[in-house]
Amino acid sequence: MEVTKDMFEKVPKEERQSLNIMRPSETFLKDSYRRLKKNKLAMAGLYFVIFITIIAIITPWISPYSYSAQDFNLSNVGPTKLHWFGTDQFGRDIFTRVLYGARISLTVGYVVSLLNLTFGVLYGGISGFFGGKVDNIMMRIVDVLYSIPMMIYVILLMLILGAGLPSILIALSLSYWLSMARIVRAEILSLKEQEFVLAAKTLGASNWRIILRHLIPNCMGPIIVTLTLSVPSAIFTESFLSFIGLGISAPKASWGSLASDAMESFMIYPYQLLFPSLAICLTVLAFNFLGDGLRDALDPKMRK
Amino acid sequence: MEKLLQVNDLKTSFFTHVGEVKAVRGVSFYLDKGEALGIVGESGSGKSITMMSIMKLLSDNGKIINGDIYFEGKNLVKADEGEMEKIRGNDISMIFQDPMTSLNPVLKIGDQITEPIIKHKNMNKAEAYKRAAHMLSLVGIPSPEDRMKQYPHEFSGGMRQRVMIAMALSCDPKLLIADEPTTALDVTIQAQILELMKELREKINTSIILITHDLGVVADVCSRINVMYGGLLVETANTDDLFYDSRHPYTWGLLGSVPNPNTLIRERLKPIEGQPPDLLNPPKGCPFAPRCEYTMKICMTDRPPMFEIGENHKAACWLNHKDAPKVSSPFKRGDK
Amino acid sequence: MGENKKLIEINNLKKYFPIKKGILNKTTSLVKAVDSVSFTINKGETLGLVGESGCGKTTCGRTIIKLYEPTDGQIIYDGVDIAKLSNKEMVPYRKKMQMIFQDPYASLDSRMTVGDIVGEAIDIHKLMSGKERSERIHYLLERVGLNSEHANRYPHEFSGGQRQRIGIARALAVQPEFIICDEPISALDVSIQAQVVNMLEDLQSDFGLTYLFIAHDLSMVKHISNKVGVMYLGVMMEVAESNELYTHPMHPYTQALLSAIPVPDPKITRGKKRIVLEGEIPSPIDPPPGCRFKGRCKFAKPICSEITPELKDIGSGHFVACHLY
Repeated sequence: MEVTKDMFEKVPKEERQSLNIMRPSETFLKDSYRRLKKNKLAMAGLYFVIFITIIAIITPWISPYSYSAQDFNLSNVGPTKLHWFGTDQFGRDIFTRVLYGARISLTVGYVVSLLNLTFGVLYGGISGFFGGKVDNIMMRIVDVLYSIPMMIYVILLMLILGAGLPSILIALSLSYWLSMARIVRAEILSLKEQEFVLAAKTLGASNWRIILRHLIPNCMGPIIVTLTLSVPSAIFTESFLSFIGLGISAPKASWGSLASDAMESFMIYPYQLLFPSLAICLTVLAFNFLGDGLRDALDPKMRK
Repeated sequence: MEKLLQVNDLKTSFFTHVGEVKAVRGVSFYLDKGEALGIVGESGSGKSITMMSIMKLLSDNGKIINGDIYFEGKNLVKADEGEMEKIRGNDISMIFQDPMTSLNPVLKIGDQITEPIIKHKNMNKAEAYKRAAHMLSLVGIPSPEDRMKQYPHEFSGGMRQRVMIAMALSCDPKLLIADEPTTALDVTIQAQILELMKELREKINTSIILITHDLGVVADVCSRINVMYGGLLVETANTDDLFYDSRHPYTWGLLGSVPNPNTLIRERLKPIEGQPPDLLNPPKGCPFAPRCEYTMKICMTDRPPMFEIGENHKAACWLNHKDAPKVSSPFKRGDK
Repeated sequence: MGENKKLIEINNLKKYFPIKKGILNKTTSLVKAVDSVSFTINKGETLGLVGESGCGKTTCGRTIIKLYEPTDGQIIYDGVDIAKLSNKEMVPYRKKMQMIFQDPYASLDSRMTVGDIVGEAIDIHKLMSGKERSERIHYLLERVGLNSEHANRYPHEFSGGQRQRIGIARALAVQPEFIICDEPISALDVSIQAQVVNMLEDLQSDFGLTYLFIAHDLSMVKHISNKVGVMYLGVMMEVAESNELYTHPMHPYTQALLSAIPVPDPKITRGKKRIVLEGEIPSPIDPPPGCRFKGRCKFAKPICSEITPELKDIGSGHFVACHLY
């Protein structure tokens, strides 16, 4: 290399500082999504969840048959071109019924999770933030509720409200928010001594502002994961309850009750059991893959 | 004197989703037997990564991409994991910044400290316990036999750092690498630990590499100092030369950033403006050019070579070129 | 500067934390984190508070700004005792007193943009909105040496020193008079420390700020402070003008603390005789009567175990709590 004298001229401040380049901005969510995208199973789960949700919403407009119309001429037909999943003993199209079942099952999953989100998160947030006596009392209530088996809620609610979607929703909601409240409380307990919370206090922020603006957004990771995993769990429980006859009643059908109906003739018409079961399995698996993927993607320790 | 460690043109990079972060970009230095070498630099200067490269303890996405590391004539870059395991803890040991997380909380101190002794020294348990007790008393822990039955949480920060040092020295390593060993400690405890390190060097003649960002710490313990910046070595000199006759503006900046302890007048500090470079896109020329007061055209385009200043004294700054304008350090500490 | 008007006067401030045990939450012992600390700070001046970790200096700062309820004592701010004010009554003082925190990573909410962090006080006190608000945020960011375009970025994109600047901008948003700097530089690199200290000095002279500067780096404290207080185990050991304290330390603890500072000057370091303190800072749980430092003090006399020394004036505003004087 040749070094000449003019190379030793001084450079003005602005010019040398232009050498500093900042990295492109990357928000927390963008960064997490990038890591989620790397996880093939989780992405497959995500696409399946989106797909089944859209299908469930638009079912009334796309389904070729009515879910309740009976046609005894067509009872117990195996899968054909006209009836993809075959028909049941009353001649109802199983494909249509599985689609409608998705509506019920997903409704249960989403509604329970939504209530879980609002009530469980707030309850846990308040309990963790105020601590001391408040925390003690609120958490003992949770402990007591935890000790009551869900079956008892369901049966009691059935007696009052009768069998059906409302009682299932209430019963599941009542028992699902408890674990969310516990998770959020534990997170908040460790967050509330952090300096950014103290900083908000010295600025004069109210308790509500601190809980809603600072604490809860900072536990979004565990909240989203718990939520994603509670959807399949709720779907599964609903299916189970319907299967043992405590849930949705005819002519409405959820995946659980479809499977239950198919049990009687399982040996002769196995396809009647196969399709609803497959729907339950795939959906539950998809949500679980997604939840696991989110857990890894949102974990701050995995950030680089 | 025989060189214990010789590092030649070491380059280490981390491969992340945004690209290659060149943490160490060509560093060469050596260490004599029985010497205490200080490595000074800001966080992100590559000083810790250089040491992790020597120990071959880089995280999964980190890789040595160039250079040789000769330890007693053996090239560690080519050594496999099995050979490294024999070297780590036995020939080279390392202590870290945070004494609170460097010890396993569920194991008794005695079990943790005897583990490397049993592994490397072929001693049985009883002998290892005896040696561990000896090491603990050497680093100034009273009643070591009782303390060995305790768990880490029963030790204070300073005591834990002493345990870490005892553990690091228990196999008579030829080289002790101390990565900011006192940064997490109070000044009084820091003074104790520094005294201890000086004492140990005299007593058992261990070679030490001390990494720190505090010039006060190296002034006390080390005989020679390397200054690192932006993944490069920018100046190397004997301690006195570095403090009183430094030839690199970055070193001047470091010296000017600490208040002069000998004055009663409130002088304004002379900090280095700006931020260290992002090693994802390191500047093409001198890494310090964006923050330097004396930046010249050549600094923007060409990385300065190591100019020989004197015995053991080299500086990577174009100001030392014969054609460069003469600039002397704005910072004089030797003359009161 | 400030015509020596007192802005803050702390009288016998105490903060005890109870240790509770058992199901009934019975208080079994007390952690006396701050035990009868008194000092004053004049308007426009800086008091440095130094001591080892666990000496109660951070608790002291947090109690003064009422993050913790004081157990006893007075915090007189501009003539008003704020120690017993309720949270609601404290609101106007939240605009006058602010705090800069130690950890540049934990002190910023990672889910908020820098603009929202700096603007939080403006939102809380509903001071401004819309364009005015964003202009104010841009002004504050530029005032602390950042760019207005940084407002839309997130804290994790910044280095430690830049984050500390964001924290300072947040504190300045309410136009405070008094700022408690709780070890604002101890987590930063040396070169960045000097930047932040210079900036704090500039802000002090531009806005007439009063600082309580808490740190364990004695050389920086001396540099920035007019007066320095030395704390040990919840008790104030010595208070004096900073030059006086550094040239004539009276308390054996202060002497040891000063001699432990590593001096960045090899010739001085080699000639220096260190007073190496043996042992470690004892536990502040139910401390025994007498001088707190007696266990590590080489001048300890029988009286030191019996009577707690009072902080007394030994001339020209130099206060020391030791039986030697």
